[in-house]
Amino acid sequence: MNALQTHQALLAAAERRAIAKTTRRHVHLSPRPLILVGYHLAGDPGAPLALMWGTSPGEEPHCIVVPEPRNRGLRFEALAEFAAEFLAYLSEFEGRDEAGMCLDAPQLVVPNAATAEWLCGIVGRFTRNLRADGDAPAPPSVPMAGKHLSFFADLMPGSSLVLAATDALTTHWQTGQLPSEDLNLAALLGWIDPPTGTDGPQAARAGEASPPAGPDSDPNWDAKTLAELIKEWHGADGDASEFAVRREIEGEIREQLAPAWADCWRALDRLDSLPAAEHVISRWQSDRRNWTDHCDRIAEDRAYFRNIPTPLQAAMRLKILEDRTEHLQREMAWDDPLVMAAAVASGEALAGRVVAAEPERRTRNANGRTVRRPLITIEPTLEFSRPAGTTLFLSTNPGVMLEMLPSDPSGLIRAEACKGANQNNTIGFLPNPGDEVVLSPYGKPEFYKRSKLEVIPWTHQQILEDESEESQ
Amino acid sequence: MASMESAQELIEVVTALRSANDALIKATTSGDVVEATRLLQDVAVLERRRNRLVHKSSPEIARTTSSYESSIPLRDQVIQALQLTGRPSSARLVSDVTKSRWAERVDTAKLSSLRRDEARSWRRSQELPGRQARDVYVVPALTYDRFTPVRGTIALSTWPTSLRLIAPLSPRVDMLHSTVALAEEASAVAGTNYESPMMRLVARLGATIPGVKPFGGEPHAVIEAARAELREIEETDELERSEAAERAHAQLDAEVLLFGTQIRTVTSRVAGGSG
Amino acid sequence: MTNAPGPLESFRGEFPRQPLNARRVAGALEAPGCQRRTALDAAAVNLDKLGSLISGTPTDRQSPFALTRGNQFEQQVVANGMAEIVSLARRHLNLEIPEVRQHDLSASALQEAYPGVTGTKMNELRARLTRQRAEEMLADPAHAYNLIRHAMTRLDFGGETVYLEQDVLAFAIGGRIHVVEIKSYPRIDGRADPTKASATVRQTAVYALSLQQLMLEIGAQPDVVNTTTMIVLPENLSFRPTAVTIDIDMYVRRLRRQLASVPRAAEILDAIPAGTRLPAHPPNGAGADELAAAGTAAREALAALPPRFTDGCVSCPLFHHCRDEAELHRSTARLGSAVAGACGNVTDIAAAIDLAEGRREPADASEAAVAATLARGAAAARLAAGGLA
Repeated sequence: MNALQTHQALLAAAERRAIAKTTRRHVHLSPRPLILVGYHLAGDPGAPLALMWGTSPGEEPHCIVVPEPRNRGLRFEALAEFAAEFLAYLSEFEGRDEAGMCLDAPQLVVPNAATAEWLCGIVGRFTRNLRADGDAPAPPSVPMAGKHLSFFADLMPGSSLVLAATDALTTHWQTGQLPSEDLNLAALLGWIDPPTGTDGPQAARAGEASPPAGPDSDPNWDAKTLAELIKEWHGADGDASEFAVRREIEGEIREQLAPAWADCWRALDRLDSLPAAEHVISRWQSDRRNWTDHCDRIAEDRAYFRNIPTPLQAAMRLKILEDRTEHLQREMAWDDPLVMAAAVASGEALAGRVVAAEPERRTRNANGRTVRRPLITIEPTLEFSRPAGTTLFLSTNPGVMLEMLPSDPSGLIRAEACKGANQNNTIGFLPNPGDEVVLSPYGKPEFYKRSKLEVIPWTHQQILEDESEESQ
Repeated sequence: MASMESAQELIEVVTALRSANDALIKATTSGDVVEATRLLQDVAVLERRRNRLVHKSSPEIARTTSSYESSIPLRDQVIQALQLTGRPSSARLVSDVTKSRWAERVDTAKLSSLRRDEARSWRRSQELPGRQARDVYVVPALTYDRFTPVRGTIALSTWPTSLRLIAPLSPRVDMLHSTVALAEEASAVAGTNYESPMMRLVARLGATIPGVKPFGGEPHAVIEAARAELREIEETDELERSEAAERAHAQLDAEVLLFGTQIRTVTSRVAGGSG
Repeated sequence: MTNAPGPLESFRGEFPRQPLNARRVAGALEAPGCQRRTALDAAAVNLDKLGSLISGTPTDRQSPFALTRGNQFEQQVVANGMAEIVSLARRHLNLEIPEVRQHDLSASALQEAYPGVTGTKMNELRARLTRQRAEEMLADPAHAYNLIRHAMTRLDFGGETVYLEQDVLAFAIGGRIHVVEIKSYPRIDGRADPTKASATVRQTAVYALSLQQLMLEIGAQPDVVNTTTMIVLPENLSFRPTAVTIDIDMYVRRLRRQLASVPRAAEILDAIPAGTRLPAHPPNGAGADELAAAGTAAREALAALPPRFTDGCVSCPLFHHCRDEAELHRSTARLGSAVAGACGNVTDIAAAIDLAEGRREPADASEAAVAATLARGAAAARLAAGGLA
């Protein structure tokens, strides 16, 4: 937590309302997202209890329940119903353009990261290799849905293919509660968007009292209501009474999951109120490419998934995750002055006013050659104490790289341009006297060792040996 | 809430139950065991559903206040009141504020022992590993010259030192500031049950301010009058207090800075003694 | 044994007690420095009941389905003379367990043999029997019991001795004690949920430490307790048991250090007003008024114990209460350890903001440092708002 975030948290607590951490929206919002909420039976992530989903806030969402979640037959019946509609949604995104890239990609929206991990990581993981034969076979739509869910489980930072509402909201707003309390979507929205007549803390407490957003259900509801209903199911004799109990369970479930459903839409609404950041488009392009490649693999029946990475793969994945996270941070800072402000506050970035500029300046480099090194002199607005030799980049144009020169007692900072503003056709990028500038440590990836960002994720690599996957 | 729908659903369930029970009687009397067994189960399902609907529709008190707020400990009542007045206050004022703003009684008899307990708690905390002090303590206000505790006044340890020191004009200045704060709060709770008691409190305090008409305790008028008087006396008071604070920081240790110097004479009932 | 109650007993009054378990001890150490918890733990106050009374809602903290699944898994694992455990121990601990001769020292198992023994007396009995069995197990491994279930050991907490429920299996084989834990969260693709796994390891360390102390009590060496422990988990989503072994020596040592720095509970209680005590817990079926009154009295008693609100408090039954209190106090601690740490000795939110915005003079050097840091944050935000890119 940096000084800026600390200050924001204090303000939020004092004003009893969440404070904006950004001036832009850094996630892509699809015009046609699929909102998914659900529960599994407590202690048993392999036993879904219910799933509720839809693509429009105005319509009643679809809902499947498993009246006895431990019964595999009922489980696959329900999953089949879900799978059919899930595949139908995904098929809307198979159309391609002339270059062979999918015109658009799907977007799954879930209340929190735990739901995404459960649905994609566990349900997907354990349905993708189900066999169509053997005892209790599953309809083929289920393993197909599982393959898609597994794809959605393995996304990189910066991807908007899956949005966890809590993560998306905390990226853009700072509340006055504990970070772990922010994991509760209803409480988080209470801080960000309290109803008139209440304030953040009051709305958050009301939110806490509402049924949980999943994937875990309320243990008290489990004890009081669900246990009774499941018992009724077991006692049901004949189709009519089974149908009646099913209807009752569905009614109760819809009531429990209704707040999570509504809150996901509220979250999207709040995010929509922010103007999109510049790099959102290019990141969504990446997502589209990723989705297209996945569709290719599915179509060619090449969508194999490995369960356990080799140590080398695990290490590579970590490295890629780190690189991507850093890259995302950089893009957000370029796009958003308030995000860049965090680097200014921490002393990594320099904010100040240009007081002098020497565009024609020339020096001798290490080889003795004369090179053009334009110089700017900056009066810092906040104290900046990085040493000479530090490499910085213009925040408005990260292609311009500067190096700090030794300071003089005046307190002004001198920096010479090394790249990006050294030629006649680029000298225009050099800031002019009077300009307010921010010089940051965030440069373009060309200046960094390129990480293998095109590598196929390990989960999707073709496996060479036979995979002895038991049907679950 | 969906009370209309639940009421409708309840009527449907009870109606279905009635006809199921009728059918059950017929099946039983005609000896149709299979049918009777089936109907028994149906009746059981319908009864449970009915019970659930009845439980759901019974009014649940919307818990917008946590149970913590519904009757908080004395210590926290005092802290809450002082946060509202924002200035060193008398026990009487703390009690009046708590009653008016939160409709709760303060046991003022316990307030003197509270001050003593707080000092003891702080001292002990300093002895523990890591010096685990509390986030806030209820402390006495101190005289600006000798830094002795001012009898009957309490303050918060988190306030700047200058605010906790009482100079000659301070009691009046503090009262005026508190009155402004309470008047603003009175406006904020307009439309609630707390509006009237708060208005009465503000009117009472405002009555002592020149320019406020008797029984004319309208918040805006009180605020204006209070601010007018403050403009005349506040500057001197602030100067005296901040000078005293500088002296205090230079001379006093942490404990005295919070709780004041202790009068060490055994016979403390000397007439005109400070404190 | 004196008749006059000590300060802890006085404070607990008639409120129900409950022996500690490893989860509670580990939880207490996740929120270190909280005098409130230390006093309550050292006095063995039933924390779940206290939490429900204060919050006004009776809450079950675990779903019956999770409980059932846990029990079912455990039954399966210990069935047929612990066949699964024996096989897993052979494979993962290289341990040959001959025929299992188990002794159950749970209260329910002992009730028949010792009728009328309840409460503290039962704890004392169980602890005494545990000690005897342990001695026998080490003295005569061939014939004594080689497995104790539901043992009761003791632990020094805050200068007080508290009883600890041993939920692990403690095998005595070849002159050493081996600890086996059974948990029901799954191990998927070779990995268990890291949060749950680290919680389990911290809890196992509590059991192991307590067993080490038991060894000292009976005159044996603490390293009789093998610090390589085995945790039995379901494999993937099935009920097939698999096991992981982990050397918890490092955790046991850390635990010992943490326990050593828990303040003396008696000292904590020395600082609170005389006569502060918890109320009796109203009986089942008590009316709302009675419950509310008891809740108020409990809150009043707790207010005398200084809390230390941190991120780690989320798992404590008193969480909502202490959080609401921190919020009323407007303390920086309410915002979590990161913010509170950044604000140092400045414990008041308004004070921190006033320092950041220059509206308040720092009282000392540390306040000045906090002011400077926060001021940078505020200034950077202002610059950004001013349209700087």
